[in-house]
Formats: sequence, C-alpha cells, structure tokens
Amino acid sequence: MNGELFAVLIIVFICLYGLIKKTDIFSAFNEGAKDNLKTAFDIFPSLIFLLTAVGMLRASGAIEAVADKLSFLFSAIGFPADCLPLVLIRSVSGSGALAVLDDILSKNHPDSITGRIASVMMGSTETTFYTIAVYFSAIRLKCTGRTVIPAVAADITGFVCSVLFVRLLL
Amino acid sequence: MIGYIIFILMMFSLVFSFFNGTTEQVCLSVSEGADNALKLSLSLCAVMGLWGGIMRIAQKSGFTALVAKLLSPIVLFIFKGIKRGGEAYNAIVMNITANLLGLGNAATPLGLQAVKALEKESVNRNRNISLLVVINTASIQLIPSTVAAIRLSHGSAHPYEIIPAVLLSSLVSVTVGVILAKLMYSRGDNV
Repeated sequence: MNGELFAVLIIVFICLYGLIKKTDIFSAFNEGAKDNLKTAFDIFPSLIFLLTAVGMLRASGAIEAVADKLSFLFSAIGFPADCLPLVLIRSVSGSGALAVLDDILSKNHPDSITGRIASVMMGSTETTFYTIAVYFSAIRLKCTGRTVIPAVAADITGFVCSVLFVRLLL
Repeated sequence: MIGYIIFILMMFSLVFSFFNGTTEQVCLSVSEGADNALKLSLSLCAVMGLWGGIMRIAQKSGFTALVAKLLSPIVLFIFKGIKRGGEAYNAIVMNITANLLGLGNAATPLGLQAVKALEKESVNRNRNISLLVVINTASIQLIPSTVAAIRLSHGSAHPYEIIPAVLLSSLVSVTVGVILAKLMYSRGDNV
C-alpha cells in the first residue's frame, strides 16, 4: 500500500461523499481548517520553549555522547540510537515529543531509515501517562496496574514494531 | 511536570557543555530554537489545516457516522456487557471514530463521557474502563497528519509514505494492549 495514494484517496472519497450527501463541502472545509489552525497556533508558544531546550541539549553534544556509548547495544538489535530521546519523552509529553522529533529530523533526513523510524514511532504511539491522568481524573475509580501495565506494554510494542515495520516495509 | 523536564534539559545541557567543550554551540543554539519553532508551526498550520478541513467535511456529511456504524461489531466484541445503543456504547463508538479520523479536539470529551457512562454500568465496569483507557493510550489514527507536517518541513519527498508502517504498528500495539487488559481481569473478579 502506498501512503501518498492512501492520503489522496481519503481526501477525494470524503469530498465525493460530502457532495453526494449535499453537504456544502467548501464552507465545512474552511470551518474545520480554521479550527485546526487555531490548535496549531495554540501550541506555538510551548514549541518555542521546548525547541529551545531540545536545541540546547543537541548542541551540548550529550545525545551523541550517550548514543556513542550505547551504539554497540543498539546496533545489535537494529535500533537507531538517535531515536532514544523520542522513546524516553513520548509517553510523558506530546509537545515535547514533537520537539524531539523535529530535532531528530533536522539531523537525519526524514526519508532516511532513522528519520522514518522516528516518524513511525511518533505516529503509532500516544502520550500514554498524560492520557491515563486525564481519564482517571474524570472518574472516582482509582488507576491501577491493570490499566498501566497494558498501556505501557502497548507503547513498547509500538516502538518495537516501528523499527520492525520500517525495515520490512519501507 | 513538563516545566521540570524543560529546566532539567537546559541545566543538564549547560553543565554537560562545560565538560564537553561545547558551551559556545549551546549559547548559539538558544537563538535558533525559537526560529525552528516558527518553521515547525508553519508546516503544522498547513498540514493540520488541510486535514482539519477534510475531517470537518466527513463530520458534516455523515461520513463519521458511517465509520462509527462499521466499528460497532469490533466495539461490541471488545467491550463485553455494554448495550448496543446505550449511553456508554454511543460514547465509546464516537470516541474511537474521532481517534481514527484524527479529530483530536473531539476525541477527549467523548472519551471522558464514555468512562463516566461506563462507571455507572454494573457489568464488567472496571474491565471496560481499563480497556477504553488503554485504547486511548494507543494511537489509532488513519492519517498521522502532525508527523506528516514535520516530515514536510524537513524536506521529505514523501511525507505520507510512513502511513502503512504506522497503521500496522498501531494495530499490533493496540491489539497487545487490549489482550493484556483482558488478561488482567480474566480471574473472574471483574466487577
């Protein structure tokens, strides 16, 4: 399956469906786009702060130092060491992960193996701990390991699968 | 929480650079961070704008409702003991649909509505709540638009080429999460 074709087909199909159902697709599109522009604008301030911190970390050379030390371990399992910061922050902060992915892709081309693996990791996992906190703050039930363990296991599976499927499919 | 992470990152970078001899680079990087944020936000605006528009057409035309109908057998299979057409059922189906179509702003309120409704149920209450939260902590998005935006801003020739790998990887991880959550409550003490 080709990803670009899939994206285009979804766009065309939804527009066609809208026209068949006599929806004013132009004004609906404008409304939805405006809402998302607002969301993108809302996260801009936190991205400034986060990208400054992540940029400092990159410039200090600490990421390379750790990656060098661990590269023998990572290369044995085919995991790109550059993706390590993303794995560490992904389940805690969504905008933080966005900033780290941006940093990884500025060092590795997005179409390189490392760039692709980082992209798939970001796309196939969620801000697990934040999500758990939001959901359990809404109800009286206490959060237990019965929720946390499967959620974390799903994250780890996502990271492993990202490496696996990029190497197999792309 | 995130405030501490940012501070630790900055402090650590600065101290590390003293030993690594990269203090000058760290100082220079401060002015670049904001600039990078602006570039990233512009790509985010463009790509997220496109998908926000398309998905609003999907909502207005009833396409979302069609997807929800298609998901119904899967939802009834995963969540045992909920009634088709009931309050919990409707909220769960709409929550999963919103996640699938990348309607981030709609997904969370629907999910919260669903856990509140599940809390009122008497059969398999805890298990169904765990399942819903686990499904929401695993990403199941048809079009990873934010990732595509970042890839585009860094000059990717094929920003969407990752979709097959993302979908497969999400599918496997959500399946693992659901199976494990079910196993957690398999000893008969599922309230």
